[in-house]
Amino acid sequence: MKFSKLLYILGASAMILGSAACSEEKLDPNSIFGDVNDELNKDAYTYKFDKWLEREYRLKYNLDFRYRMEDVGSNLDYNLVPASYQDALDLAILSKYLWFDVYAKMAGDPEFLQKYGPRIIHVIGSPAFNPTFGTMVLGTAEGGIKITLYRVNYLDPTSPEQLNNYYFKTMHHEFGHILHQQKFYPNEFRLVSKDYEADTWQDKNFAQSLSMGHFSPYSTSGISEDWVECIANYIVRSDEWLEKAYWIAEHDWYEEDASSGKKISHAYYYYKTDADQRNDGVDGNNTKTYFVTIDGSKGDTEDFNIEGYNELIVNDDGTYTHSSSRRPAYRVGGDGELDGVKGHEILEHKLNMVRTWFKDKWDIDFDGLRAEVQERQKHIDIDALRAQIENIEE
Amino acid sequence: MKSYIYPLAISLVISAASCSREEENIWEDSAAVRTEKVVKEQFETLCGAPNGWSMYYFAAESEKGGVNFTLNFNENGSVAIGTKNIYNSPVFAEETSLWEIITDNGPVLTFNSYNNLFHFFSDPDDGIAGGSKGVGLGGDYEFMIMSYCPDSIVLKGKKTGVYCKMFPLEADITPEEYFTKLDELQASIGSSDLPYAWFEAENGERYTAAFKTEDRTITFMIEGGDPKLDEHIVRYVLTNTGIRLFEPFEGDNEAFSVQNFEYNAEATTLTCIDDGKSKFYSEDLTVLFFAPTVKWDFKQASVSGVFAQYYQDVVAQCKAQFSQNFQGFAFRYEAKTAKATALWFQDGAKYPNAYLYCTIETNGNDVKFNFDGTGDSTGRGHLSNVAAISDLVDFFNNHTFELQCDSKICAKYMRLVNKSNPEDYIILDANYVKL
Repeated sequence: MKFSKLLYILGASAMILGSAACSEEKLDPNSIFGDVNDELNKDAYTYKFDKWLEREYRLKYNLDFRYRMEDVGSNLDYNLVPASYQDALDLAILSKYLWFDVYAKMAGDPEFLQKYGPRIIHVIGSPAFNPTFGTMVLGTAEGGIKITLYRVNYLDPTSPEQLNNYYFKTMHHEFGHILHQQKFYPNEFRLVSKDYEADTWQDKNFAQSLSMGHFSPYSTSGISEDWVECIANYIVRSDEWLEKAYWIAEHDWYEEDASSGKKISHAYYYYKTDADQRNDGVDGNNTKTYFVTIDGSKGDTEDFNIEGYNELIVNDDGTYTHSSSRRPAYRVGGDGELDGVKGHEILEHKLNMVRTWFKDKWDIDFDGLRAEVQERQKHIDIDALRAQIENIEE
Repeated sequence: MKSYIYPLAISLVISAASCSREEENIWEDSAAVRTEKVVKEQFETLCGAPNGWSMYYFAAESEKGGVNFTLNFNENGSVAIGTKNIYNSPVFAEETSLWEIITDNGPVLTFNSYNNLFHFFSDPDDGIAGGSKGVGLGGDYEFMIMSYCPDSIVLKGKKTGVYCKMFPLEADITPEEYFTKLDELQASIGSSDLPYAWFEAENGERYTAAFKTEDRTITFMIEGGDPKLDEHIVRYVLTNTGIRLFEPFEGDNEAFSVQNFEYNAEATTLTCIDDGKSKFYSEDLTVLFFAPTVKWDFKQASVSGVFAQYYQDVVAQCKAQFSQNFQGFAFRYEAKTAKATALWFQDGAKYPNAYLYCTIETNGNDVKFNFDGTGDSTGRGHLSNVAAISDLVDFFNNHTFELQCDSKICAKYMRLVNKSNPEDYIILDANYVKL
């Protein structure tokens, strides 16, 4: 066969094959579902809430607040149940009041939340229990886009402490993750604490965590968690809580079992009387009388009771006096003498890094943010907030 | 060679071009369109029941039996769920929450906002429903719709795979009335006050079947078996027509399999639907009458004929003589003395109970009493001093009675009938007594 004829055959084949391979259907511009109506159904049981969410979250903040639980959108490793309609509604209005509207007000960039805020909030009624470790997940942040909040069915809108401990601290915590996943926290932060342990944080003692420069036991689970716990705790905790936390951080602590079996943290160093000090372990009597004890110290503590704290009077010379007995409180050691760490100084150091990061990266006054949240927390009128939805205009 | 090489080459190319990527459609519409159509049909079916639906439901990890719900699905996305059950709702209660049919791997009926009555069974908080932490009772709140039609809907739990079924609620009853009917069905089928009934499988194997209605369980034990080794505790749920066991019961030898039973009110039978033969039936009446764990009470409203007059006289004479308000009689058999005991109760703190002993002869369901004058001191005193009690005792001694029962499966109520005059009878009410 001549070469030229072979070329004709090959060329013809290529053309035919090519035309066969290129035969594609054109896409139909019309939807297979016919006309789709995007408008909210005015007859729906949830119409008012849906309309409010559309207006106050989706259009304002580019966020989809998903209150109907989506099983496939949750963590399938846990058994979960949906949030109740009323609790989800309350959480939606409180979240906007105490979180979104605050960031919207304080951020230098007017489109801060539209750009950097989560796109989805998914609420779930139950906690995500981990029976093996005795812990529960309160919230997760995924890929900078989605925040899942658990335990919504336990919401008590009349209790600011409960709201903070279980919901708003979690929200600021998860949002902190979203922010640092987009603009990383400073490398210097990694050099401050060295005691992170991912799998044993739940066994950590609250007072000891503070004295080691961590706002919570969960902070000790990792650097990123430490970073966002600084943010969340500083924003939502009251001045009184922070004052006590700093005081605890300024002292060293160890843990003991109380007669009730509860874990108690003791300030190692303070005794009511010199007799108590002499009797401490000297005569084999295991009954010790301490000046300051803290209970509720296990795990990720939300509240703690300090016994004896208010009885201490700090004298000008740095000594202590028991307020009611007027007897000297004997101080055996000082901050850092037992654990080698000055907890309060470290907490302040970490907060300063957070302040700088918020200012430089986000143009947000971190203390101003806190002040706004604290002020709003004092004025939660849940009925007035609910009325926004009940009275929503058509 | 040259003349056919070109056609050969071209035909090869054309045949290659004909192996295109087009595939033949099996269905007329795309999967998305078909799914949308099914979802719409299921939505209309759920909302289309004029009076809503009833449902029977099991929680996978519970040790107790199943529960029943009424559900009224509204097109506006809300559902009113009602229940009366042994777990969290001893009286009828109803609560509204949200529902949807979503497209998961297939259409799924989801109750996707929390309902305290319904999600109780799937809540992982053991502080709410019991069970283990992180699991709870292991119930479902999302269901694959396995089949649907206006007469019934079969659901399969998405997480646990447990089946439940829905039926349209009858048009002329309220949800609360529905649960009253279920209570009546339960009372007809079995009672915790009775020691057991019998279950006979289609292959002839016999098991005692002890109902524990407060837990919705039946304890089966093969005839002659060891209570410690051979018991099977089986969970059940009431259906509209009988009971369904949580799992098929196959007996000790796995020689049969039964799960669904239908109650025939007229015949008072509880028969297996799966094989058409296996059935429950009551123990013999005289055996129940003498069961040591049963006390047979009767009150003034329960007596007829001559007994009514005797009872009235006893009440009047006890009041006149002792200033006591007579409360009632009972029969109870004491195994250790091999004697039946007639008891009666007064409201006075000083003489709460009184006993008279008797022996009994039986012949089939016939009973002959022999009160021999023995008893405790109060009983003997009343026998001497209350003429109506003496007359009543004489009547028992001088007549033969028959034990009768209207139900062939649950003898919670028996009648003690005077064979000489059927108008003279006592309705006996079984009550469980701990040994």
